Amino acid sequence: MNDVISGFAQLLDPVTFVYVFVGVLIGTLVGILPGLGSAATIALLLPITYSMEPTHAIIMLAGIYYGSMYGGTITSVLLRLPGEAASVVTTFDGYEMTKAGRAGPALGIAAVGSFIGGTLSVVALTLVAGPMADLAVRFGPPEHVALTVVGLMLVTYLGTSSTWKALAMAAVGLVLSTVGTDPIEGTSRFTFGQLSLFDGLDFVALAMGLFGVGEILHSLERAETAQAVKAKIKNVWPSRRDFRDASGAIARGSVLGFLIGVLPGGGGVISSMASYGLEKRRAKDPSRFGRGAIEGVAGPETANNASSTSAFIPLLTLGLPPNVVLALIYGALLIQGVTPGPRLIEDHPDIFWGVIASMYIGNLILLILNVPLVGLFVKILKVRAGILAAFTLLITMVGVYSVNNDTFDMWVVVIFGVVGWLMKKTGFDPGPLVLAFVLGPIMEQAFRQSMLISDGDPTIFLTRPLSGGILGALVVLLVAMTVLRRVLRRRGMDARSTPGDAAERPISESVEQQPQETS
Amino acid sequence: MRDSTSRNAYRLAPLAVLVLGAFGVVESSRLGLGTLTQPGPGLWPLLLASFLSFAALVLLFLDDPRDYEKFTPRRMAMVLSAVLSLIAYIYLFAYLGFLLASVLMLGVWLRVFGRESWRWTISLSLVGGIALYLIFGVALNVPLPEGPFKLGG
Repeated sequence: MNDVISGFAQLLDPVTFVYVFVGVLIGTLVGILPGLGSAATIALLLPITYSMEPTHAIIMLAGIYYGSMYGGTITSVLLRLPGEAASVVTTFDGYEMTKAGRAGPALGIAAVGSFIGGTLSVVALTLVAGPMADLAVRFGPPEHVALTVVGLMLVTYLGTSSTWKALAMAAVGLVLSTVGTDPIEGTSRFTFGQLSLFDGLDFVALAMGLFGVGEILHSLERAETAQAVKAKIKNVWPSRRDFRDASGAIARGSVLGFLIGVLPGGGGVISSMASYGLEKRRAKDPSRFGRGAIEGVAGPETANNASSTSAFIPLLTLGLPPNVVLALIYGALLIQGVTPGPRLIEDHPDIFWGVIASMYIGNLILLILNVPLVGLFVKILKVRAGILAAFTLLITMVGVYSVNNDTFDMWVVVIFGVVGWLMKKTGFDPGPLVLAFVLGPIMEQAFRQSMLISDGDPTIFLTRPLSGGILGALVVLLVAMTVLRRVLRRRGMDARSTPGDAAERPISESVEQQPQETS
Repeated sequence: MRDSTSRNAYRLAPLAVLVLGAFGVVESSRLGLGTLTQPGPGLWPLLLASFLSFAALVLLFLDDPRDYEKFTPRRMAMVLSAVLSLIAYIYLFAYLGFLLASVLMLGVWLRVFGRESWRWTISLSLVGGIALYLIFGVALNVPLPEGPFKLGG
């Protein structure tokens, strides 16, 4: 318990507080801006974090992640433009509320729900993290292999693209992670005589290329349409009746989001989908959904925030990033010389508890930022996409150069930018690739150590009770989810097919259908 | 347009992935596999590349063509010129120095791709270039190339 208190004590340091604030502010802004997701932003800021204290770096990056969950709501509700994939379902009822002149309460309940979900999730994280790390210390190499396999399988299975495509991308990421010097024997692999490749491909360059440059190249193809918010935002603080209507959704969203966030591949999108589905099923009159039901905004927004917080549990205790954004944060820590994992709590209690403590404050700041200042944030939508793209590209190029002071990394960014664009065009998701690229070296090391322990017997993964149990649980989970998905599909709401469709649709439609001004 | 070639064009993507996988299989087997007890440097990449090839093979037959966006010449030209401008920037960065290259690059991007007015283009690229120099060159102390005119060295 002392450590928790010392974690909070760090927040008294004004510098730390500033990083929390900067993180959640940037997060809110990128959440609002459609096109620039939290993954791209974190990739973009990675070089800047090198010169920071590890604790400050992760506090800021974490703030960007959960801050973007708040910000993503705003454009979903006002313009039916989800700034983040996790906010796609919010458009269903949020935009309807805007049309009915209830934009204020929609944004308000989303912010309050996000705050409650986020905070409850941090409380649970505080309680669970310690015991989880204690358990994880007993894990040996075979368990690490099993866990990374679970992580990759779930990410590919739960992802938004087809499972085989995601698996192929995960494999590409794993193969790319072997470029460079063999960690055990020192042989160089796939370097083709390039000196700059001996240390492997730079993670930052890869992520910045795929997410940053790839995204911008793809957006060049779309005709740019400036969006104007016409809806008046008033009565942001929801009424007592709104609270009564939404309280159940918020409570269920918190629990659901927390549980889904812990699962690898969980993250924001799945949790908001699941919460929307749950609320609609539970409702006495499901036909209200899609016509401005406040539960349809409150539940998903609560859930995506709760899940973005609980997603830190596997990262901080097992050293297993459950989704792409956390893979980037994981990468940032590795570069700082800190390996997240079971030993983090003992070796770096300042980082471990510092991040957790920062989330309490971060959520509070976000509530304050989002309720009274929402009108101010909407103004940044006036920044034209061309200006944003030009600056993003330039910062990407300089940023990646600054990592090793080597123009070779700029080439890597451009090449992976083109690859990222091609992947967008062909429906391959870069997420599993980047996650696999991060997990690859851990997996290889653990795999080779396991082979040494077992004297070359590959059944070790199944016969050790812990690793066998983990893999068994994976099989059960995959079977259960396949069945569940069938059921959902029969009811016409497949959690996986919806995000892609819905994310594409509103952009074209909202151009013709501007929000009506209502008074 | 609805002949069988264009209908199957999307299969080029999994084919490219398959080629990558096959290349990985060949290259990693040359690295030395070792034994399961004493894995060599090539064993792990070989496992991965084999799996990659298998996944690509499945996609070659099973993938959903609706996943693919159209490639139109106009859009392709746009993206290609953007990529070329990025490559040009890498050279300019090394030879003209950070500040000059960045102001030029911002100018091109804002004017050509962002379709900004000249006034906005010039003022934003000047202010932006200097601001980024102050952030990266001064505050973060990155040794940026200063170029022949010793600007912002």
